[in-house]
Amino acid sequence: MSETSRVGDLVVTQDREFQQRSWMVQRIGWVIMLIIVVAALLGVFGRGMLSHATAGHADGPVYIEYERFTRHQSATTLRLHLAPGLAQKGMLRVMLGRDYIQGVNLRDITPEPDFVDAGHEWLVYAFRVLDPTEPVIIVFHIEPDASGLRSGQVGLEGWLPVEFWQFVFP
Amino acid sequence: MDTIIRAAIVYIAILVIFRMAGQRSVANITTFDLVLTLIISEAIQEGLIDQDHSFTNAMLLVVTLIGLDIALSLIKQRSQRIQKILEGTPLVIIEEGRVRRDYLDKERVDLGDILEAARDRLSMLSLEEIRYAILEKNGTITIIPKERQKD
Repeated sequence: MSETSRVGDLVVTQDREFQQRSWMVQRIGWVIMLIIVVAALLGVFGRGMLSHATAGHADGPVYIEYERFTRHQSATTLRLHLAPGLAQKGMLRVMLGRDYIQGVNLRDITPEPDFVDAGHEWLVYAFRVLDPTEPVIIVFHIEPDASGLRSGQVGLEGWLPVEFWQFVFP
Repeated sequence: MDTIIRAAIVYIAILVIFRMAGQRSVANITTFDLVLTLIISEAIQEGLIDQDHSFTNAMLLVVTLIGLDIALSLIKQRSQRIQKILEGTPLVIIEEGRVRRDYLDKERVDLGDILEAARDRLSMLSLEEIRYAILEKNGTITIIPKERQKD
């Protein structure tokens, strides 16, 4: 039997204290929602100012642009800038850590590699180069499959790989 | 397994978010609210389905959601407190003819809404005929008229 109270002649289960607390909780909820929207606009949940990141040195062999925050099954890109003069016999061999690849769905690679060498820890993508004296940009279009904090390694064969971290929102 | 968890989280999240919006938002069927309902259904669809278009997934989702609904209704029955938290309480917005403006502001209801309810249910002409007006849990407004003066 639910308790009832009276407001004058009216019998109704009004609860003033609860109501006041409700309103306060609602207001707090609004503030939280506002914070979420602002954070999202800034890129905290991916695709924004705060999520765009780079790793590696601009004057090093490999320099990557990636999103440090991204979302499950949401398209994102890994953009590799390869310095000129590093091609061996007209080919550039790009290594990607297997751990990272395992957690993503690789949709597309622009340009397409000539062939891929599969290794235990690395996958090596071989690209033919038009002009070895020019820098090359390679873009991996990926959709993260696994959520959470992921670490990735990418580099040019024969050089120290670049490490990066990515947080994937579910 | 993650279908079940996903469904539970989405259900609870939507429940919480709608409670934050207040009682009024869910009741009114104006164009404004219709658009909102339509778009929200679309928005959560892919999140629930997650590219799994199998019949099994669909059934799992339905069972989980109905199951949650039943579980919550059982819990509400046992605990008054939880019922208040999930559904809210009625609120008297006109008391013996006096309008509680502070309550109206807090719940973002205006006199127009009250008059509309009065016209709709009781064919009333104006606020003067209203003795009590209550904003119910589901967002509708119920009216108790003043006794008509017998001439």
